[in-house]
Amino acid sequence: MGRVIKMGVAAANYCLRDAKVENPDAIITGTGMGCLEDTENFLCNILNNKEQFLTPTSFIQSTHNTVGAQIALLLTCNNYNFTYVHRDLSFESAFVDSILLLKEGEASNVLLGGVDEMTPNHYSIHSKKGFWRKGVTTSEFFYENSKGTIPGEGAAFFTLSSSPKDPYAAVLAVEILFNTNSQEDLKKILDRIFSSNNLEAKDIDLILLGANGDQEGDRVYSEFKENFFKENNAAAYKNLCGEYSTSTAFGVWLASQILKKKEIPAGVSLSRTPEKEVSKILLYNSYNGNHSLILLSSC
Amino acid sequence: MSRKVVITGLGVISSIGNNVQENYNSLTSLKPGIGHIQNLDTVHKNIIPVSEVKFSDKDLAHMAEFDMSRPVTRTTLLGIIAAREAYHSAGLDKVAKLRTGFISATSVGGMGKTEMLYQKYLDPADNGDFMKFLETHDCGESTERIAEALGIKDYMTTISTACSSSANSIMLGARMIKAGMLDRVIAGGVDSLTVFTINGFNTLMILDKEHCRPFDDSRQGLNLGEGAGYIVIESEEAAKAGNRPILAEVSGYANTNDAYHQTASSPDGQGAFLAMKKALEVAGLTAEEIDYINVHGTGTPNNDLSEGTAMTRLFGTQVPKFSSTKSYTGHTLGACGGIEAVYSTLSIMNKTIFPNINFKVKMKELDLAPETSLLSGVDIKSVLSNSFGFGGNNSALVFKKI
Repeated sequence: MGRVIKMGVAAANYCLRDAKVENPDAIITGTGMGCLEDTENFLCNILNNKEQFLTPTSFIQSTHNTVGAQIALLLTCNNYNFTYVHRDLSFESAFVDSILLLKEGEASNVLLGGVDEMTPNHYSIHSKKGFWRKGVTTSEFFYENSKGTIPGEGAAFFTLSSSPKDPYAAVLAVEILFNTNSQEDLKKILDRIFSSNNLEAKDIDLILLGANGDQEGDRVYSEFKENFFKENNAAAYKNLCGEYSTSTAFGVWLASQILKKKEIPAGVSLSRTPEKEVSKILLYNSYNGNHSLILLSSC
Repeated sequence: MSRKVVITGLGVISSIGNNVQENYNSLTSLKPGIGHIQNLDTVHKNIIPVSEVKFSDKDLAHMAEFDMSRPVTRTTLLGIIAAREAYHSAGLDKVAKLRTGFISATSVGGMGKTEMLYQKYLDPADNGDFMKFLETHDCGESTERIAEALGIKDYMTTISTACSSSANSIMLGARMIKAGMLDRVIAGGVDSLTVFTINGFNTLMILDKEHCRPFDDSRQGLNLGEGAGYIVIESEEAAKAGNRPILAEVSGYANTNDAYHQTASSPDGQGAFLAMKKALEVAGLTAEEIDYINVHGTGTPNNDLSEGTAMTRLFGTQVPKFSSTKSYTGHTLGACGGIEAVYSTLSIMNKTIFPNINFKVKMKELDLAPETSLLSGVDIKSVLSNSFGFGGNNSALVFKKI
């Protein structure tokens, strides 16, 4: 069984225990690459043994919805169970669906998660394309002006509830913008988020950026900050979790912790010391002209 | 949320035809697409029958009008062909701007290319031009390419819940339209045959060496297939305002989990039962009002018994007419919900029930027999379409005549 399944099931369990939910009304997961280890195992067995002497276990567990399915199996949960696999927007897609289910009244709580694993093969194949930097472990890597990032993996789960007890944060917006590099388009989405929540840019206490240290890729984040949030406090978080398709889920977990505990962990490298308590956090992530914006507020 | 969601366009490519008309012709002339493997390099070539789209990637690229100097997978090409047919048949290319989404589904995405190149990927010294295909592996890639071919960018996403994937994309599309998040959605799914899936299902020992025989007592398993099926769904207001012909309504949908086993279905068909029951509730229909079920009916001993049990639980002794069109197309995995949504709509439009070919003898456990000959002139008001997948993922859709 691949680590992604173990990580996913473990994180889901912690999450449900934390929220005191026994059986959620829905289980929705996002994963960019799915069950890589099991997929690679089965594929390598096919190739190395010329399609002979194969056993089904890793094939069975290679299916993209295995994490959601295993959680349902362990809980005997017959409810809605979806898995989104849309590249770096997999977690965001799952988030959009979760909110829709709550709004429809089809669920009063939803177990939402983002999961992805790193494997030796995935690492070495992507090394050939110059994806990774070596020997960097701290936030300094944001300032080194070079190519590549640090590989990551993880599972982060959330219980979303329409009538929460003791919540971490309120979700004010989850927006996705596709296939554009226009700052005008980004501005339109930001204006929509602000007007529907009666906010202005200055009300955002912290911008959490998906910058990953790759000099060229990070330009989009510095432009975003410069164009729309010049005066706001900002931080990046991928020095803590590495880069992976659903790392935004880690970002949302971090933001939720900051909002509930009312303190910012030392590992988060801020542009300046906050003057007041952080109560509104906007996460921004981007890849290949696609953008996601998630706005959270303290409760 | 009283917005009606209607179907205004259909698109399909499968082993029995490159477009809706060809598929319809094969279905009504009882011609299945099952045969020997032609396009894949595998040791199972002359042993395991499949339901293949009989064109090379090069031919498909020509049909899809795709520039082959760019990295592309068979999955993307099949998807473009079917999604574009749906898009054009609804006349969306001529329509003023409405919020349009593309929701696709696939079970293995770009695996077909990955399995050919994987050993080269792993060789640290080999950094040739083939490396450009690396980005075509994941499931979301085909969705981005197809959406790009159609010029859709208001919303897109990809669902992968094994063999219920594309039924789920239709369900999500319908919900997003009902909620007012989008005006219209091209929804469905695509999968291409791969050595990976053939070996996977082969190790599970659920591939029939003969043509599959859904619901027959002698059934030995499924035949794998490939293809793509998409429907255009929109709010009734948008369709009416644009004067587009309404083919049917998506009136019910549900997704549940069997929570019994990673790959096997429960003996009592609990997940399937709950999905069908809930879909009827959403559609506001009683069991008696379903005129036809396009069953999941893969032909595996386990699925058909479990699904049949669930149908008997829900419909009692009055199980509606039903058939599995997988006896023509094979099991197209992440595409089957989309393809069968197209077929279900064709059933309503043409008052026709496509038969379950190769069926002869009822299974011992259940008193259930599918339709075995083509039925025409049947007034079909509501169709239930089932799609069930690994991980206990069970979906049911209800299509209604307008």
